[in-house]
Amino acid sequence: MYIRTRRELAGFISERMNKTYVDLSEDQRLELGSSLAKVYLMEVHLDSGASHKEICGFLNNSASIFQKEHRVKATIVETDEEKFFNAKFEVSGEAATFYIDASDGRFWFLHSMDKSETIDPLVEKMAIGNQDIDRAWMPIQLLEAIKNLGELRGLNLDYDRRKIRDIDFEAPNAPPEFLIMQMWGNKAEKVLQILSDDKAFPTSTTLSKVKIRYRADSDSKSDYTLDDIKYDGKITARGTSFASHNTLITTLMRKYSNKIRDIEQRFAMSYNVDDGQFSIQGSPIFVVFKNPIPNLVFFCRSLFSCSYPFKLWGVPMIINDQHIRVSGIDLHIGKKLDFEITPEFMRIYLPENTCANSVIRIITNLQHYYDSRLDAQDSDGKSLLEY
Amino acid sequence: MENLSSNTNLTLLNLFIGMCRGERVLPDVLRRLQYKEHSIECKFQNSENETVQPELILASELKAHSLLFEWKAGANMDDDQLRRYSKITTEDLKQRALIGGQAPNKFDVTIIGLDDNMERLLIGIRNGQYRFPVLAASADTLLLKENSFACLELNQVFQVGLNIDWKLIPMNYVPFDKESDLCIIAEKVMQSVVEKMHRREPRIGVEDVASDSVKTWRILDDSCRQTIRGKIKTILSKASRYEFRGYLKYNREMSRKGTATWDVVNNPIELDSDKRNKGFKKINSITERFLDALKTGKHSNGQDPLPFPD
Repeated sequence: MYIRTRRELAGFISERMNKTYVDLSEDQRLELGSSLAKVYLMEVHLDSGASHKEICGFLNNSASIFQKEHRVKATIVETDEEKFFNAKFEVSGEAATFYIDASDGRFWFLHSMDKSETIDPLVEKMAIGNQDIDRAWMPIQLLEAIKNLGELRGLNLDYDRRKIRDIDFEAPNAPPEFLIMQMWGNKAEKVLQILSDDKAFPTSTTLSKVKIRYRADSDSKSDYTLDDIKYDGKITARGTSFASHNTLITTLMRKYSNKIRDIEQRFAMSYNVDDGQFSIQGSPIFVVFKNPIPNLVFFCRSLFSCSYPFKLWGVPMIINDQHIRVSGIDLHIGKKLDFEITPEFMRIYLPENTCANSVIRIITNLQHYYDSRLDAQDSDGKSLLEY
Repeated sequence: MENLSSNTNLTLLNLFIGMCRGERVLPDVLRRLQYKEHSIECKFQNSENETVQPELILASELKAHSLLFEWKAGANMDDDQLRRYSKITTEDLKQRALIGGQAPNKFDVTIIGLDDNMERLLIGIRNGQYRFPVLAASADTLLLKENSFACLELNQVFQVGLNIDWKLIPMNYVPFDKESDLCIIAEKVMQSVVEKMHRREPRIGVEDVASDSVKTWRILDDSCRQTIRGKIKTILSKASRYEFRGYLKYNREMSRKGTATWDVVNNPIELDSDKRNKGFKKINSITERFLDALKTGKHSNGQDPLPFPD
């Protein structure tokens, strides 16, 4: 379906949200061929102020790369409005459409009403295959901030330590190898508290999805959205109020983008010489682990193995038994990132031209694959993950 | 401490830069007093037009005070160097070292040495009756051993000793210097090479790699640049002759015309997207072998030795 304006898109999403809400409330299943309204929050390597022409050029170039690499037909269609596009894909004879709102040239909303089975792999391929596109990764702290905006109606936990097996899982006090859970209902908050308690599974309880009921207008009881927000930036929605859904996703994106800009502004490292005066700008980000890393070398080898989900290249150089340095490359974007790893913390040096999305992606994935209590802090120990 | 004795210059450079920037595992006195890094190995002339080159200069506008550091890895003082340092004036710092504002009004040339060598180092200071504060670096402290600073707060801190955890000092502000072993420099050189491969750059030039991998390249003097350039050239030559033989090839024609250059003849970024990470993983293993070989001198994948390119 071709959509010309954002207003038209709002009508389309609103209708779908209502219909799926009624179907699921009455029949506990969707009508055949129907699917939930979805939006993927994405970050691309363009400036926030990129022009319509620049965005259009970027999209067409990305579509041709996509077509070449994945042998999937991809077409970009301009609309009546600036920085708003339809992206059409043909996968094994099946059509799928994304409605791209690139009002902010860097932080995009990809809306779709097509089936997850068709479009999730497309988004995955876009994010994996194109170094200029990535998801808006959400650390636990952002999901928690968002859940507090509405009423928590369910959650998913997703933790898997098997990618970095640096402990003996058979030992008596070993933490869980993996902890995956899905829960719907109003007791979700209570369950989360119990599991993340120090006496339970504090470093393995990783929030991966929250379902919240949110009202943009708190006085209007009947107008709300029921959104599932996943840590990789995918959101599905149903309910009675598009305005509530729209307010929620734009709030989420603003929190995400403000954090990215803040990190780049405060921490990006640069070395300058002005009038003979040498200066270093920026400082490292401290990723602080709840429990000390038991085997530094093994941890580094796993982290810098070039594989999913970290996709980091680098050779660990042992400075001493408490300190390893890695001059790394983030293979997703092909840019440098320098690391120093000690048992208690990891310094990440973000070069001035490397996007802070890399740092947030690493932190988020470490929460899912290593330590859910992990925090990122500045030199004074203040958390960077307060949203 | 092991860091300090094996590489005094880099360890102390990174320590003091880290302290200025408020590194969490380091004492925060320098940041509180607003000392900022002004220059590294800045060469200038003293009041008698003799050259001096402190390892690091820190300047604090707040305290109207500058610190010029000279560190000694060994047990001997260079008498002539001390004499030249003693002839530095505030005017030299303002007009020749180009320290702006109030910071050059008061200054201290500060000597740092290992505690084990202190007795001998102090002989040089005492014989020349120099007023330079001398700090001794021991297993866990930096302690003022002789003379005092023109800044009261520094005296208070260094007289009781500043606790330092040498094992956790950040080592990435200045990761290597001209004295560093090839394998240390190669870590940054290969990072730069892989980044360029990821950007699909068809050629790797020494000059480009140098300015990309040496963070302080723009403030280094010519002789220092020449030394580092030479080491980078050796690293790329060895890489292309041995472990990276299938990836990099020396381009004689371009090198003859200008800077030494290597062609990228095999690049994992050109593989299908599902095979790329595997390709880079292979390069990761090769880099590890290469860095190891630079340490041990035992290269693999080699062919008969050829002369290094000019």
